[in-house]
Amino acid sequence: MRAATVVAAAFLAVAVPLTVVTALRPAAPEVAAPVRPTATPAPFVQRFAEQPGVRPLRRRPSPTATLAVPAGVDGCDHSYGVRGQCVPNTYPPGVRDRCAWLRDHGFLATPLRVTGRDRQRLDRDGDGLACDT
Amino acid sequence: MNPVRHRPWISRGDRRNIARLLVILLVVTLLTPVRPASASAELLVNPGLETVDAGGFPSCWERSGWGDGAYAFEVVHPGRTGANAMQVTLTATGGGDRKAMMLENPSCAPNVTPGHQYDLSTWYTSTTPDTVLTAFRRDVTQGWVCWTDLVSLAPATSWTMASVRTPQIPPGTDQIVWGVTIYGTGVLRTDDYAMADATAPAPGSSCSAGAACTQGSWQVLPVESPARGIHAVVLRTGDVLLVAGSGNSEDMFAAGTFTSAVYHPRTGTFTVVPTPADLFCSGHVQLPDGRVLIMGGNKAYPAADLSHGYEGLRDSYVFDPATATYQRLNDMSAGSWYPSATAMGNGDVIALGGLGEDSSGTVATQYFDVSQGRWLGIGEAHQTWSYWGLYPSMILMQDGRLFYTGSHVFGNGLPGSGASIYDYDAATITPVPGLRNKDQRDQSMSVLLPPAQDQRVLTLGGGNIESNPDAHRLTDIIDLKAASPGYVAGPDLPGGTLTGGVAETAAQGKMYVSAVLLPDGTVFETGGALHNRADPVYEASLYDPVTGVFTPGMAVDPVPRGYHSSAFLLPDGRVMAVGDNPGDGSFDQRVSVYTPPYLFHGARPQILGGVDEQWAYGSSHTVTVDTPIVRASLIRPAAVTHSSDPNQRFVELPMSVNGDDITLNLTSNPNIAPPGWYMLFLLGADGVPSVASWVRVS
Repeated sequence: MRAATVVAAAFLAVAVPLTVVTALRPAAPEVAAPVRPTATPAPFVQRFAEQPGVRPLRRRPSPTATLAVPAGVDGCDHSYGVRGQCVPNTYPPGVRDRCAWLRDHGFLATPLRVTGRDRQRLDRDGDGLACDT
Repeated sequence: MNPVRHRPWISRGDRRNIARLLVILLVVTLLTPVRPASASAELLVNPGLETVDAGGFPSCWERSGWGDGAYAFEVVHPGRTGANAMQVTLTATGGGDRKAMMLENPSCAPNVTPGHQYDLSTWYTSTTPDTVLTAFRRDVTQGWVCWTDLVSLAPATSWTMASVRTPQIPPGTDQIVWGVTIYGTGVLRTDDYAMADATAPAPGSSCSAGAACTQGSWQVLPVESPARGIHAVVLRTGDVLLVAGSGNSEDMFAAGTFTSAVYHPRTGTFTVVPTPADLFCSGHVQLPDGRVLIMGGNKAYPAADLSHGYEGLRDSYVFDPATATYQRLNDMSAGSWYPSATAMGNGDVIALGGLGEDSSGTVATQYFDVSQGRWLGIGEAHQTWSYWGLYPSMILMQDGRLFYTGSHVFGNGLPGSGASIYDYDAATITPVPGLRNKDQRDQSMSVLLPPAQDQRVLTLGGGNIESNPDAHRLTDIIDLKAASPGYVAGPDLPGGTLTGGVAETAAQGKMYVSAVLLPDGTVFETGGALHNRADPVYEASLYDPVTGVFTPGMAVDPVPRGYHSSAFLLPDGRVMAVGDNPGDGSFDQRVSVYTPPYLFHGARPQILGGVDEQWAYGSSHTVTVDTPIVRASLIRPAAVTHSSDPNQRFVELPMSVNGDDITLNLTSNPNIAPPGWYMLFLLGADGVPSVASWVRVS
């Protein structure tokens, strides 16, 4: 009997307040599921990077001539070897012996032909091959 | 016979005691504020808007927003519960927005813990789809800053709950405020806000892979690529297109032998693809339908007598992953050798820079109209007639402008500060300051840091093939959310080793670097070399955009990765690296695959029951998962060459979590996620990402 009393009391203690609280809520339909938009929103774009006080670069006129870019744009001296090779126009800092550098980097595994002007003076014997003496 | 004495089931005394107990419990219950069903405490002050100040406005809340549009903030009655709700009316946008936010002060703004995640929710009605739940954060050094936009709210005539889980709170953040922004004409009503800590506990590490647990590991594939991997594009099929064209081989060029190959990661095999032109030195980007737009290429190698340099093709093709074939498009308006290619928010493509058919610099802005499927004529596109150099890194900003990061290929940077913002519509260019060593950013790499919503760009390393100094270690970072953005110094790249195991000096870094966005939101940088097509650097690290720190000592690709190398993310969460073309003219066609540490730390999260394939802007998509998920993202598949992939981006997908059901919320802004196919990754609480599912954003 005592046990039944406690169970009943506990049930009533929970059920009655819940009923009262629920009754206080509005009757309007509510949807608790995560939102699924039914209409596509406009892009929301923030007002960032407006650069106040920064003036645009002066607008260029329509060109009347082409813009020249050096033929050696890739940093390679194409007077040597085949086109896929790249004997550098400028060697890394500290390089004093170009032929040694080229040898260390695999350029001389096969003969390195001079196909243009020997600007770097790598063909000392004038045989058309660089760094072979 | 004695009458039976009727004993009550509950005695009079018990009834009295129960009555007293019920009254006490009822009073206590009614006096206790109603909380949402959450295990965590409510963190908001005045979440129901019931307490008002002297002016009748809810205490601890403020009116916020900007712009010239007419608007009104009102407290209306009744609320969803209680007496009050907040109503914001925008009667004319005129640009700008309005939102009710928690007051940015120590008393009202909820305190947060870095690294934690929070469930935010509110009930609302709205007559417009142009609303978004927006969060600001208080940085302990910068003060209050805009943080992120989380979820669009659908129009609703009856009270509807919107809920979303924040990303992890960034370091140095002690408070956040948030609210619902209305930016289109309409009426927004909100009530009963809630905020609770939803941090998922990280399971204990179970990694038994030794050094790979923290460094990851590399494998070199047993089969070499049949095509030189100079250009690499991850396809919506999960395969990888490698384009060589003549592959920087004059013999191949003279023979008219142009090659491409498709790599199939699932089988580890290659398929050789007939290639119609010398697409060596072209530009490339995925179109919204998943086909690959290829532009320009190599018309001629330079003459030995320097009578001309490289010459650019005007050809353009689309590569269709479904048929593995190229189809010719109309020609570009100018030759394009080393052009940039950036996908815009409308799916169109802008190409800038490069060399023309006569080796001169291409100064035309070339515009591919995706709806017409053609390159516009030179007079149809807005022109600035500016020369942008070779493979200029042009990253799409959230407002549709392009940020020139300063990363480029060959020689010095552009005159001036070396970085700028380009407005195609207005045909204006405004300089951006702060990039260090701007003339040594040749074959540096720039990435839009995760998430794209943060609008921050990291530029790493670089050198100069003309002056050929030691490549440097500098990184610079720019926050494009700032009113006047400028680069600031980032942490130095970790030092590596050179051939023979010689350690780099303190000043030495690398060019030809590859930077890959990973599904856990970090950036993996790998490969590179010290000089013009020489002296590979063996080094790899992970950059964390949240902490701003490099974790050095990642496993190193055993294959040198200098000039004509690339690395990119595969849909299974690994990283693939291809190419190396040193000055001696050789080409390394080995392929390496890196398994990041996260793949050694547990099972991959699984999506149960599939995922929607078509995603509209501002839409939400629910997936069921088998494990707690802490982050979700869309990563745009790579289209990379020469350390240049300006379209690479990681788009955060704020989550609304309901047990194993996770709703993924896509931004409404196409400039954050340009239309196309993306890899959807989910990240487990143990930091392990799922295998990607492919979704199409349109």
